[in-house]
Amino acid sequence: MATDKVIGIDLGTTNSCVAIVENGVPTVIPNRGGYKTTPSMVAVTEAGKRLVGHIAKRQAITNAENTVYAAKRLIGRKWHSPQVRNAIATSSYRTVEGPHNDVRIVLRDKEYSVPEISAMVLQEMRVIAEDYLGAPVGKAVITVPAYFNDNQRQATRDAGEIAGLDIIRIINEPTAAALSYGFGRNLEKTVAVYDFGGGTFDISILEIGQNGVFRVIATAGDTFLGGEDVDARLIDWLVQEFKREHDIDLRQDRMALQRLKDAAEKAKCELSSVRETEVNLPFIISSERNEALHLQKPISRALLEQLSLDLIERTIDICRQTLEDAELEKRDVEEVLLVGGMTRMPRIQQAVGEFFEREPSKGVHPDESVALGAAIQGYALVGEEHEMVLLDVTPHALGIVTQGGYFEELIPQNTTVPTHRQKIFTTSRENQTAVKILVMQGEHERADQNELLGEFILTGLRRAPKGEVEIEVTFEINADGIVSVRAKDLDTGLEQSIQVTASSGLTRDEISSMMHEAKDQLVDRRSSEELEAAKQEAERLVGEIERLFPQVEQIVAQSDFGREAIDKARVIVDRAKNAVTRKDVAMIKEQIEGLARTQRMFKGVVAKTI
Amino acid sequence: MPSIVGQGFLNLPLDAREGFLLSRIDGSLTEAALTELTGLDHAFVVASLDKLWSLGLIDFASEDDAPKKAAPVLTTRAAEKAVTSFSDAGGDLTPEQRIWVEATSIELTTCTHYELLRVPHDADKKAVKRAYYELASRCHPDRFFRKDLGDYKLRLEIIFGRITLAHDTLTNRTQREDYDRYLADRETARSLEHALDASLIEDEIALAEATVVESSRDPGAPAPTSIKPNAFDSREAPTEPRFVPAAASSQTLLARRLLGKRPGSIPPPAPVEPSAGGTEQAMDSLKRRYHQRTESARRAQAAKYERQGEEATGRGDLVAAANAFRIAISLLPDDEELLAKQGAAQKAADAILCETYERQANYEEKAANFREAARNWCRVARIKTADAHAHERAANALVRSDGDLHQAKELGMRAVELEPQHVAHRVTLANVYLAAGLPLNAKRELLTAKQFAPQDATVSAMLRRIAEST
Ligand SMILES: Nc1ncnc2c1ncn2[C@@H]1O[C@H](COP(=O)(O)OP(=O)(O)OP(=O)(O)O)[C@@H](O)[C@H]1O
Ligand SMILES: [Mg+2]
Repeated sequence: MATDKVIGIDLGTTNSCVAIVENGVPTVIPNRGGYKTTPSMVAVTEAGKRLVGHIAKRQAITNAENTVYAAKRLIGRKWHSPQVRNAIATSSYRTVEGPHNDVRIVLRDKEYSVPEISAMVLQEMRVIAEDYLGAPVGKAVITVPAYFNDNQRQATRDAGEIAGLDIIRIINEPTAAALSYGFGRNLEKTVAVYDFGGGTFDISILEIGQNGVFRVIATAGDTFLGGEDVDARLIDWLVQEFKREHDIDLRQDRMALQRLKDAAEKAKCELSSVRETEVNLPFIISSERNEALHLQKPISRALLEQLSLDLIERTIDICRQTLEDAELEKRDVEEVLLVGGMTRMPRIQQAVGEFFEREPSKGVHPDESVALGAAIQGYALVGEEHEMVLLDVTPHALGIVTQGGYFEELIPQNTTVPTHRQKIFTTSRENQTAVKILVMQGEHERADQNELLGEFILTGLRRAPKGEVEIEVTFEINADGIVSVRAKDLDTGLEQSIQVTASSGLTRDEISSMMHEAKDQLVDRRSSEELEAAKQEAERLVGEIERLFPQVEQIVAQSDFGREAIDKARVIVDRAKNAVTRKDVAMIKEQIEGLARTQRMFKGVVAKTI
Repeated sequence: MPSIVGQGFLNLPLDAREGFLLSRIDGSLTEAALTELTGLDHAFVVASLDKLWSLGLIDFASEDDAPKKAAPVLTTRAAEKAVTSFSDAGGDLTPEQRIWVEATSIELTTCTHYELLRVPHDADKKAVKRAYYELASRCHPDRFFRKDLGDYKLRLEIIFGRITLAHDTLTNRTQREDYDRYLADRETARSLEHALDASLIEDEIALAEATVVESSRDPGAPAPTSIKPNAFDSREAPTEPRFVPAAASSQTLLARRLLGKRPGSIPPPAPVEPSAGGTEQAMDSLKRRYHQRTESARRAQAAKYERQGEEATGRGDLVAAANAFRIAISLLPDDEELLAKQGAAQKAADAILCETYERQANYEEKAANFREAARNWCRVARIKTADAHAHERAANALVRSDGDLHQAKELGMRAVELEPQHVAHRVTLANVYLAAGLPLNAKRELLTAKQFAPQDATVSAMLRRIAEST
């Protein structure tokens, strides 16, 4: 029986986490290894086996080219975007352009879309929850960075669908953290959530009011600013130092680069608790004279801080801007919550404290609160007793492209959803009989700097001089964040509309075929566990029977009955062996019973005669 | 704000105040509490509750012999009774929820942001937010996640949008200031209209007249001093009109006043007949003396009101001034000087009134509330009879709000008459004609416009369009 419970998944750049509300209490579900977070890593082994999580991370160095990390940085982005160019320049896995300007990742000669990769992580999280609950899970709330645009959100939704989940809502990570902070506490407070994770930075300012209302006042961020970037600074520095000493560019060697990455991150984390550490990578590369070279460098906290200072400064600038957008003073913020692994860095805690002029709260867990919040939202949506309502805002402005390539805003940034807005536009050319409505998202005045969400054409306009035909454009965002746009010719009353299903880079058909593949994969995986167990049992029995064969043969060879029994036993053993080679679980299980009977019988025969 | 069209409940004979009252009923508030909460007149609340009860919308909680003292509730039975009259599909909503949605929908069309959130005018940010959260937690679409809401889905979204607008407006300082100015204008206009309402000074005029008669009879008697200042002091004007059917009646009164008819003035005294003979002469002189006494008493009274008028003018209370002069004139109807002073005061008061109408109209136009904008532009046009712009805006707003096209035509024509060479006026008038299905008239108007501006793109385009469609 599938449970009605909704799981909350924090699909992070580096780590993912799954939670659920049980008996009104939000709880993080640990994975089989007992860890509460699971690395968002996916790998394919030489044998074509898929690995997700810790196991994928462990083999990352030796299988760097077939191990995907930080796929979130690519999700819902265009192949040609500077962010993608940037990200793949340093990645150890191979990427190619997909059929819809999207990114495809090549693992062992097979191309995967980014949502497919994310789906593998989601599926893993789903299995963790199912193991824990002992029942299939169907519904989930997934979190995304607040500053994700609709294409990225849609791609995340698609990933959920591919993983066979009904994604009942996508919510923002900092909002989720605030939910886990305020849930059931009956607060009246204005809080700021500073979320600095592995790949993204987000800041949200919320108001928690009575009646369990959580209202987002303003939100902003940078989807390309995270711990990865701090690591990159450290890697750069190490590469430079090494080059200076040995005149060798470590970047040329993928394996060395992967080791550097690991070491840099490790050093960064260590420096959160100690003032000095060392990066120690023996045999990192061979010199031209074929002698082994080692990388050994002491790194101080001060150095790390100096290398990442401007990144931290950038987060503070965004905080300043957001506070302004919220029309609030620093003193209006009554609590500052720190979320994301990077906030363990003392320098960051200090910078945030200085900016908000208040000690950040220790009230939420930096790694778990996002998943907990997602679970809470899921619980509140489907549950009967509504203990909370989340009033969220649009993180980006929505509008259309007007003459000259300008972006005309219809729904401003930070507007509470659901909402709808109207504006009247006119034709821009003489005798224009059709208008193309390009739906855009972003804050730039120039349309091409913003994200295209969708387009449609309103035809059959009356021939008229420019500026004369009036077209009323209506934008609507519903509670699910789905954008619909309607254009109406005020002259004729003709109307055209679309529901903007932001393009995740995948078509409907692709998603459903990927979904089926993912299902197959899951059956595969599940059954392989089962197979393993059955195989072992069958092999044990076969081994024992075979061991007894000579003795039994000796004892019963004289009687016809005995010979018949031995022949039957041989058939059973052969069938079982056959089933094992064919990896047919059902067949193996069928044979196990016969094997067990034969084994019992053989044992009995032997015992009697001794 | 899109207006809500629906059947069933929305066709019930309720007005906004009754809808407002209905939306406040929560089963715990008694009649008295409701009166206090809504700020409505107690008698009105009682009558409305009776009406709601008779419509089957509400019931009274207690069963003792004074049921009306108990808190009215939307009992399930009563609610169902009402619900069966809805032709709309309400899906999974409970009858109580439907009633709430319906009643709030009615309320939306007329109430202020403050009334909607049920907060007083001086409510601070915190209070506004609380009220908003309370309502939002009730009507946010997530409360009905994946429920079938039928026709109510849209309405809930509209309500949520409107309360959010109210919250956003009232918690933003500049927006709230703008909105408050708008409301203040509305309130000023209403109380000015009320204060200038001629019927209000009828008593005062009668009193003044009585005083004259009194003091002519007995010259020794002191002039009465019991003049109720608040009868014509605008600052003290009762703020009642919020809930009296003010809009209609004071509007007609305003119109009447603008037409120059002043009810309540008394006829001039009959000319004294000449006569002959001793006794007659004695009678005559007696009469003359009486007459003289009356006259001087009358003049004294008039002078007093005139002085009051001047004082009021001095302190800028134009309504009080206009009213005082009007009383003075009722005593001395032929006094040119008084007439001039009264005219000036009246004009000044009208100017203020007009300004408030204009500001309201502009705010409403910005908020795309063309129905209200049309009303206010019409008022401006009625006062500023020579203001072509006001007439044109009024006509335009009427067309845009599907208002009275006949009136729009009159206004448009007047704008054109005032500024015949102004192309925009003719275009608006042409639009009125088109809306009214009179393309030939529109064409004529546009052809005239073309003479003044042969290059105007809009004019030629409209002409072409008319040619195409006929
Ligand atoms: N003790 C520590 N000191 C400094 N950095 C740390 C520490 N622990 C973890 N991090 C860093 O935090 C980052 C991961 O944080 P987190 O798990 O919150 O990110 P995420 O949720 O996966 O990413 P995102 O939210 O950006 O998608 C990594 O860059 C990691 O190196
Ligand atoms: Mg995170």
